Amino acid sequence: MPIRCLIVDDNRRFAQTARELLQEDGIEVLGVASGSHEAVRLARELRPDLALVDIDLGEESGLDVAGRLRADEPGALVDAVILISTHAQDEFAELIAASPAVGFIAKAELSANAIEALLARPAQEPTG
Amino acid sequence: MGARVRSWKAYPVAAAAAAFATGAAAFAGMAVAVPVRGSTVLVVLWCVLCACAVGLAAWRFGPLFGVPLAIVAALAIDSFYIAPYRSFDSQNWVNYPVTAMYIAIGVLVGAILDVTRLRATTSEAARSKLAEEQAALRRVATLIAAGGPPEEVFAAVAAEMRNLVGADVTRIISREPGGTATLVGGTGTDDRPRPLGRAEPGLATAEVFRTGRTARIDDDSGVSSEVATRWLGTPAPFRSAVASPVTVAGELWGTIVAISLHGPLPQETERRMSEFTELLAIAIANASSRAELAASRARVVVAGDQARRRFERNLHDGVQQRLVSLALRLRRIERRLPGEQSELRASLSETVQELNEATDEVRQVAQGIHPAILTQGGLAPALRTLALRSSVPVEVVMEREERLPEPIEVAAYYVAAEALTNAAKHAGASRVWVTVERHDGLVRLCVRDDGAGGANPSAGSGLTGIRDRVEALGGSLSVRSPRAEGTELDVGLPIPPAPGQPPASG
Repeated sequence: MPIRCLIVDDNRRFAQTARELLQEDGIEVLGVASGSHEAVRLARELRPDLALVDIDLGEESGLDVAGRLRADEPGALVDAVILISTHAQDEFAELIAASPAVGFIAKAELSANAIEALLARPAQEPTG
Repeated sequence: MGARVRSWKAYPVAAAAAAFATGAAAFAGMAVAVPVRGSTVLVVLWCVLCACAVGLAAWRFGPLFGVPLAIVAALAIDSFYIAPYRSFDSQNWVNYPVTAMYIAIGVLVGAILDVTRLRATTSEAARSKLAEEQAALRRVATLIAAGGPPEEVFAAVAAEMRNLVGADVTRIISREPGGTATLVGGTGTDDRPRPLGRAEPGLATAEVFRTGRTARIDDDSGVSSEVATRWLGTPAPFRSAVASPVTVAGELWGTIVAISLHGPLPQETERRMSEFTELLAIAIANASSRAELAASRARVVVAGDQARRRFERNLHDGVQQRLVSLALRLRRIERRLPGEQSELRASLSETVQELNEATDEVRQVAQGIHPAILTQGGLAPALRTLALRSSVPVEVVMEREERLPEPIEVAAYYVAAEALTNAAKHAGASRVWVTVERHDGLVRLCVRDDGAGGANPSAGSGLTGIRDRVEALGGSLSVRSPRAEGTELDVGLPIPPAPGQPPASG
């Protein structure tokens, strides 16, 4: 069964490209949200397994969105959150480690393989 | 003494008549005492007694009485007690007017002497009063020139003026835009700065606010004890008040008020106050231009930071996202290429690789312009990220992981970044400690290393830029860098009060 995923990113151009790329690799992208409200609404409606959340959502913080999507575990809105950004991992290392996300993927390296590799790792393990 | 002098000047004819009568009585006494001539001892004693009486009268009652007595005594002693004796022929009427003339001349000379002495005393008093006034003005002017804070200047003006005009209470009151009054300084009764409300009619301040001119109120019947309590901190209404307008940059800023709780204030109060009023206006204008300058410096720094942040955002939201999207699309194309196109695939792969490198360069430039983690996570994570990237081990201690106003976070971050660079590059340190504490509206950042020391904060270095940035925010920077003992950088940054809150006192 393919991974069902929600993209949360305020950059439409990137979200569209990422959607096409991931779909080709067999990941089902259920929708794209550009802010926290939309993210929560779509997550509630579509029940994705995974949310890819941009850390930098303009006025909002992707870290907060990750917190809301993973709140009230085990009944959280999504099973896993992966943070994405055009920034490098070491720029945000501490914030990523402190967040409920399973890990981080730089936007330039986004692929189904990278996602699967992260999800296969033991949860909550900070990436080195 | 002044009161006695004033009293005889008020009744000159009566006083002269009294002096004349005293002189005549003394002459009569001397004439009656002629029989003492029988004994030399008695004559000497009598003359000494007379001399003492004359001296006492001159000392106690002034020359107006002393001089006629002295003339009478000299005349009588010469006539009656020094041989050859003369006798006062009471039957010869000519003796009376001539003796009277003697005494009258004495009164006249005494009066002239007294008037002269009085003039000298008065001018001496005026000179010393003027000197006192000048000294007071000089003290206040010196304080202003030294750039003393307004509250200190207000207190000094209030105290000096109170002394000088002999007021019981002085008040420095500013006029608010709505026409209400605020007490900013004073002496005497309760002088804590506070809003006073509307200037009620009957108060000298109200007159100044209405007319823009100096006002005097010697009749306090129009002021209720409730208003007196609010304005003066004592229910006793005032007896006399003089208020002088303080004009700053052509606008009525407020007023300075002298109040007497006992009698009316002296006539020259208005003139004396006007000098202080001018000084006060200068102090207020100075303080406000200093405040404007400080605010403008802070605005320049904050505007610069905001521009950098905006620039970083634009790079991130525009070019970076575009380049990343482009790289992903090329990767899709690369994957779709048929297997036999291996050469094209390799070339495309190389292009993607280069594109990613370019993206990374842009990312580094953006990070140098403004660190994204500062916006995202605040000072503590930003400092720890900075520490992770440093080539020297850094220990970061921040007591509270709270968000601070952006200008402070940015300033503290750049100070720490510069200090870490210096520690690694110039000081050859093997360890650095960064601590951030917050107390009493002040953020204190301390960066200490165990390097070579000897850093010179006044030489053109990154430290100068840091100092400018810190001082523009009203903060302070101190650098201790003894040779071979490491460098310690201490920065204090005041946290500006949230809008709508009064600034912290002190």
